[in-house]
Amino acid sequence: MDLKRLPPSLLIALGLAACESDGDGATVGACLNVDPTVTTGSSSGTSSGSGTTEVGPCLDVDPSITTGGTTIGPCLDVPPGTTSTGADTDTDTDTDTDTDTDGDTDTSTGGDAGAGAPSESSHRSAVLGRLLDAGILPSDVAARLSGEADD
Amino acid sequence: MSVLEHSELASVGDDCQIPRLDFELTPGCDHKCAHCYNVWTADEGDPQAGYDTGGQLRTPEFKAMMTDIVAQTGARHITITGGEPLLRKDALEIIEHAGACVDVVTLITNGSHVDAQAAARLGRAGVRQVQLTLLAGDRDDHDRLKGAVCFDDTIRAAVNLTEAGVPVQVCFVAMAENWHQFERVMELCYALGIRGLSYNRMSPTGGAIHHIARLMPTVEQIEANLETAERLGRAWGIQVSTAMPIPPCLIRIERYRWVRFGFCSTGSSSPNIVIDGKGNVRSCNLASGLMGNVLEQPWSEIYAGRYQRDFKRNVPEMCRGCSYETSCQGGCKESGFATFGDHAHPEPLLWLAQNPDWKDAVGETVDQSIVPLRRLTRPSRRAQGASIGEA
Repeated sequence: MDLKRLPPSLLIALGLAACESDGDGATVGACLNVDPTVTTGSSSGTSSGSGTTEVGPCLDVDPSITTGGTTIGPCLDVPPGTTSTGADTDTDTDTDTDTDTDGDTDTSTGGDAGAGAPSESSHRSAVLGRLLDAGILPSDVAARLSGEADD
Repeated sequence: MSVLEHSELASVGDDCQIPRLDFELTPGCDHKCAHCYNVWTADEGDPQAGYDTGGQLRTPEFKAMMTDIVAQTGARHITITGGEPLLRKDALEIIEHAGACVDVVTLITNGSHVDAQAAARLGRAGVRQVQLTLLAGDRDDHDRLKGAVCFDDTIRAAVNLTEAGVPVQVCFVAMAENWHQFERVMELCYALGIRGLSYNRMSPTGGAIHHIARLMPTVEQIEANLETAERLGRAWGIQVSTAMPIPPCLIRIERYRWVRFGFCSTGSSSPNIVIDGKGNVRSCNLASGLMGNVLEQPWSEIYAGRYQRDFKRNVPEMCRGCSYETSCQGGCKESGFATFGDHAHPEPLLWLAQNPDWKDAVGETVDQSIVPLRRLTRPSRRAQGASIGEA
């Protein structure tokens, strides 16, 4: 029997592999570092459920785009909270784990917000304003977007 | 769905129906990206050398080919790509035809030719998404990596498309020289209202194999980017997906639940079949091997060929027995072929992770180009919307 074909959890249960703590109680196998029970796709509800959209096409298409008649188009307007998959398991390295354990709409990034964080529109306007001030955007685009930055 | 469950679906279907098709409108491009994966950029003597791009179909023949193959495959989603597809003067006509053939049309363009007129016409054609590439958060670094003066045009294209109601997805190709720019690119996306980002670590095929030593990112650099994608994507509502496979043995992808990870689709029920401007069929954009030609053979015969099945079985020896053998398949095997001439050879990302010293010695196996100092290409204005955007 090829032990590598067995699920890590079974190897651990049989005492054939060492357990490794993930910091939150989750364990992974000794030779494979992915928990097979963990899904890799989000549960945003934008997938058709057929499974085909989970297959990552090489290079160029957002897997969320489906060709079925009942699913929505490109996932460009999905609210941040809709892909929540439960509690995060990566608390050891995140810089903002104090608030973001459920995929909520926390807008704090890089320490420029914090308590009383601004709404998304005002925060985006602030970021846009910073890019405009830094001359990152071409002047004609800056002129077109300056109104948004003032909002 | 887990990676393992994905493998259950990953088998060629009994019938020859597939959900999507990619069409390469032209092999030409006016950008000079060193990381370009197009197989026809391979040099003489490279494993992928010799891809014939001569004799592209004219407009009526191209449209007829599209109509016919869509009917045969049952595809409902078309992606228009290239080269730079908008360099073809009939590009918008073909895109509009695609819109009449299927439910979903997406476009991959370098962004240098999407003025307001072209964007409006894409909107009227019902294009569901346009993918633009941003390699850095500032024009100097972006233009240097693209080999062209194009940052401003790309930003302009994003704004034009947004104003025309066409959703934009940004593609970021992570390399050793720009991985640190990823956060700035996400910030740009956020500021411009772009809510979709395709994060793709460099996967060398074509001529890109000659830039592995300089450009190939490390596992640690990719991991740092995924941390950023998780943090900022979640905070800003930017959907992040990866199309280039990231082997789960290198990075614990389950840590990044905001990110949608894709794996090689060749041989699955939803393959990334590509058809070039001569009717040649390949298993994906990075593959140089031909499955057949739709102008010469029925689709059922092409689809039943051995290429996909042989490809799927052909995994690196080091991956044999792994629980992810049939889903991950060892990453991008076309990259393994392009670099080493063998689909079963570990691809460069996997190989470098096992043999970090190989990066210094890669030139002994694959010639590594010295990048000459050169003037950046300035894409032609004449080819832009004034010619293609007019209805």
